[in-house]
Amino acid sequence: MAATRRLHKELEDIKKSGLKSFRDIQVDEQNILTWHGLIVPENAPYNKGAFRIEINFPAEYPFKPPKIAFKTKIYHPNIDEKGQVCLPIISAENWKPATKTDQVIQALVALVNDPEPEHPLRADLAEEYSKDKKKFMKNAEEFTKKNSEKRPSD
Amino acid sequence: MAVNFCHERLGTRIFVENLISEDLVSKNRGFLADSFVRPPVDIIVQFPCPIKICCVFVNTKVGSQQSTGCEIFIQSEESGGYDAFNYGTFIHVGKHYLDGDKKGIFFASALHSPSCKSTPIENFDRQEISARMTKTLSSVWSLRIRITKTYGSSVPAIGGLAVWGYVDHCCPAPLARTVLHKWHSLNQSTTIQSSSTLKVIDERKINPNTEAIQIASAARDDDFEIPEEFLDGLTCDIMAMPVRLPSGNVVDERTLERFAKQEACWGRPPSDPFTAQPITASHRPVYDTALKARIDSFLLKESHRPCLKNVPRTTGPIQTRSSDTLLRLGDESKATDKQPSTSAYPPAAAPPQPTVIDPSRRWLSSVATSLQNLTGRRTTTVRSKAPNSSPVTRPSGVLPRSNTSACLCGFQDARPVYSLPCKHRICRSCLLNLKANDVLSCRECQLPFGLHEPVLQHHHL
Repeated sequence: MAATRRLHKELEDIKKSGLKSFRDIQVDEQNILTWHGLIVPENAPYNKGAFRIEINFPAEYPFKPPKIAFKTKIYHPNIDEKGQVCLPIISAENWKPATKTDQVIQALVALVNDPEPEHPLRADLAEEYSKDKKKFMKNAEEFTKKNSEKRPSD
Repeated sequence: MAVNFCHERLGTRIFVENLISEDLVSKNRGFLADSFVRPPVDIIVQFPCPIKICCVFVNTKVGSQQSTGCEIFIQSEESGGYDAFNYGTFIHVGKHYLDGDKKGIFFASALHSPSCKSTPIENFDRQEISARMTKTLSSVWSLRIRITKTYGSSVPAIGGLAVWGYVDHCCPAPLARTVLHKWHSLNQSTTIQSSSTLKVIDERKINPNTEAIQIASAARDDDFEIPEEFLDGLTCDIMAMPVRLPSGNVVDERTLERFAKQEACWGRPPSDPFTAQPITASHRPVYDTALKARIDSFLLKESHRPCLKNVPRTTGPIQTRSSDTLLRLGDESKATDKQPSTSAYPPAAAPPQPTVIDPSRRWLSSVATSLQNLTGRRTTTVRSKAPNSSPVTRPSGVLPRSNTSACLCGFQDARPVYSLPCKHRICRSCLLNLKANDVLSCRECQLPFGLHEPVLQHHHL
């Protein structure tokens, strides 16, 4: 499979680089195509918790983009209830095979930290975010405290 | 560890030395009996130590010569001196008759399936050695292969032989160690382990005697790393045909093709996958032949490593490849704009130049009547019709193609040429085609004409 070698290398590189915002990377030995990890955002209101994600690589990787899904519920205009996220750099059309997974993760972390209400997946939250930010922050913080994972201590 | 005992360096003895030779040329020649020899023919293999047989591969084809029937016998005690006529007490363990289209026979014992991973070679018939023989298959000293039948009038032939097995427990430890050590060093040094018919068995089977060697080799493999520069920039696989992109990155040719295909799905032109810069005549990928040579020598040197077993390789010159569209794209543009930078293309690796000939050249090549043969009037008309033509001596024989032609074939050879009422000219075969299709009109101006109207044109008109 074309993807295996590259994924092994990327996984090694990511583990070595020790990203603060993406931790606890777990990959099944048998299936390198699925990665699990923990997103640890910096910005309020998401800095009260951590969010588990799953990255699925197609067998045609790197010719086709990976798919990212949130396993933890999150109150975010760009991430829907099913955990789907709209990230331009991994859309089928914009995908470049030279894009590395750590770039994808950084883009994802940036999106979580700074929502983009202009391209929402959840219009209601986007509206709340742009019209009544205080309310949004309050709701999001509550939601995060209630639903998200514990942040790693260090 | 399973060992292929058909190897002269292990101390195996056989009177047909080709079959165990280290020299691949003589090994590939195999065994062919003299033309007057008829079956049965016996070949005896004497092993350096008592072995447990897992499986026996017999490739029964050498060129068009083929044996179709084969029996195997074993002998469990050491026969002492080596003597082709000393039959001793051989026990029959298996026989098989082949169809004409099969390449060989693969005798598998009950030991085979659980303990060694060799899979039957394509087009080999599998013949199980019955389980009750399993006991006899241990502590085997010699093996006799009897060719009992041949295909048609073919002479008895064996193209290749492999006997896979383990050193038997009853073998004295020093002897076992020597044999295994020889086998190990053999695997280290041979670049191509087996001829096409003999498959390498996964050697990572633990045998108490060889554990130390196993661990040592495993440690070596952990340290082993393929140099970064040999890896494809996108897939991180070792490259079969490295191509250097305008951005300076190197990828495999197949990667680039695959990427171009993906891009084509979105209606985008081929581009550099790293910079998205479109590929043009001045910015195009080139084969990195120097790197290719280094990769090849590296692979040859390290070919014993299991991690390099499935590395894609190239065969033959690139000229035969039809898929190098991207590189040819650059080449096509090269034909029109003659950039000096494009000469970096290695000539040996260059795909065939597409034949882009400008119209005046094509005219020249199709010209058959030399100007000298034409009348003066004719000469002037031809010259005026081909202003671009350079003064080159033209081959003689055929009328020049002019813009008044209604012919599709461009007057390829000296055929009779007819002129139509509209003054367009057409060759005989095209005219006959028109007639056969029942369209009697000029291809050029669609003017219809009668069957009697075309006039044969003579060269000297």
